[in-house]
Amino acid sequence: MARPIIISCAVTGGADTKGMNPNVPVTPKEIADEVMAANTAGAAVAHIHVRNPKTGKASMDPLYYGEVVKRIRDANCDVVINLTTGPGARLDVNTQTPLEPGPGSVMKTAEERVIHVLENKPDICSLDVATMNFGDRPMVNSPEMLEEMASLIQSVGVKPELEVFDVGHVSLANHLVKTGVIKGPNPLYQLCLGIPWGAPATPEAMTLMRNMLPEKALWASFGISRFEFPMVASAAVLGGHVRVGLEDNLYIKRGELASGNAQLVDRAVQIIELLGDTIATPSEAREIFGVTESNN
Amino acid sequence: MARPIIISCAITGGSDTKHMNPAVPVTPEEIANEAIAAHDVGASIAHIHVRDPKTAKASMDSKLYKEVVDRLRDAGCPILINLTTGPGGILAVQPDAPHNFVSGSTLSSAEERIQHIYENKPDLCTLDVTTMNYSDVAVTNTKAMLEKMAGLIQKIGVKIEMEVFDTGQLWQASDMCNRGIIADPNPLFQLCLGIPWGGRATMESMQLMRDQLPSNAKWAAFGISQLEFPMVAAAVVLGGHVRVGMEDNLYLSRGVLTPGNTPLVERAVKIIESIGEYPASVNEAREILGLDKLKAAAE
Repeated sequence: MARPIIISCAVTGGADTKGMNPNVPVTPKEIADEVMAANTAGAAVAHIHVRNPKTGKASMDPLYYGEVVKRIRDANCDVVINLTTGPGARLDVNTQTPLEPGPGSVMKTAEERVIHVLENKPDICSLDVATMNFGDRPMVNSPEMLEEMASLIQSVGVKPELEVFDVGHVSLANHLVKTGVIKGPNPLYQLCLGIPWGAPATPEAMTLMRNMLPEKALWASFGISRFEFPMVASAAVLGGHVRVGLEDNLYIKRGELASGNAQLVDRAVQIIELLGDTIATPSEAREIFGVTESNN
Repeated sequence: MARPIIISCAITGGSDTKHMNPAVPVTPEEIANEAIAAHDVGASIAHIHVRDPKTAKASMDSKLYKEVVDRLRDAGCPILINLTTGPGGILAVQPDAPHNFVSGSTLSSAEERIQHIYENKPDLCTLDVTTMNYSDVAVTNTKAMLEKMAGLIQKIGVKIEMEVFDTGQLWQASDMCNRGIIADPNPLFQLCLGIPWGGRATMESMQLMRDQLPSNAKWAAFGISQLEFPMVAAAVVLGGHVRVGMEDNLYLSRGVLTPGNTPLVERAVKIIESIGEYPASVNEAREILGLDKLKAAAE
């Protein structure tokens, strides 16, 4: 029987990619417009980071989040809004004096990391259940930090999406679910694959991680770069939901930059329909996630 | 054809376990004696941490390492010595003051973390290619730190055992081999399984990681606690080497504390032999790991 599959579109991300693809949206207006175009193409969920309009680089400014969310809601777009809480966990270690944070460290308090979630009350926000070397620098989310963030997020009725990047992260996320830190009958996991240095974007890794999930868990998965579409197919076949978007992948095929998020969503729609499943609407997605209609 | 399987014995570790099993060795003499006894029953590598004799807690004091190594060598015990470089990587994050690393963190410089390697020139030492939540604390080993430690260690011909606790760490370690940071024709990986919050101690998890290894890699794996012996069998069947010891597991069976490291090694020997393989001698282990070539290349 055809299964409704939720497509998330990660419209811009936080990596310094504007110089690699000029279609990466930067201003709140560009980000909101890309969200709406992705929604029109079939994305039920928009995963949102914001950027500093002057530099094009990642920002944590709650004003930008506020503007993106307002633009989406004012346009009566019913896409499920998923704000990131990832920024603020970057550690730079001085090799010589490691007890002093290095100049590149951006370590924020739990409150600072979720202020835009408390202000905008999106349907969902991400929670990186992950301490790892993320490329050249560690991303540090200690269990204690995760507990504080989870508690703040859930206090305003927002559903956390547990982003996990490796096998052990799934175990920790399961532990948070089991100990009641993450509440609700259907915890939501996002299996993020192919990011150095996390789990590889392979069907074997995805299968192993899926097999560890709690029985009533909801899950999606994505692979980055050229593994974006193979991982859409894998997740669809393995019973999960999917994610695409310029955050994860800048190309529509080898050597050809994506023209925007909608083009990536179109491709995911095509894969899902060819497999015989259907594209979940935002209402179906809210129903599956168990979140109520947003406060717009 | 039967395959020689290297048994490493992780004698004592750095966790606060003395009160959980009184047989955990603490003083340099106790640690050395346990390594000698482990060798006598079939271990060809001793993986060594040291402890503060007064508190029984983990120590980084290079004098304690030296005493253990001297005792082993003075006794004429040929067991290959594998010293840890793990301590010095703990980052305690305070959610309300995340930039204050001082309280609870052990972060140390590369030089501090390998001083005992320079002083003792063991056959092997570990390198934790690991940034992860290690139970309640974050352990961080950044790219820059790992590259610096690897460079210093290899300069004196000590073979690096890359400890990896999950698939992504294995990927980073492989990348270090590809880029020549680990300059070893047969890089050695230790797949550490079942530690919260790392890869699982399951056949599937071990197999997934094994399949990611570079083709020229040598590897061992272990599981902790009640999964120590199942993971010995898994590693043997999947083509790897094995590790047991009181660092990883304090029990012989449910509710029965082990009286020392030797019963754990003896059990590993039995598993290996009953599968049809045999425990490697120290000389065989030396050959498999290419230790003499590495030493000659560094000289």
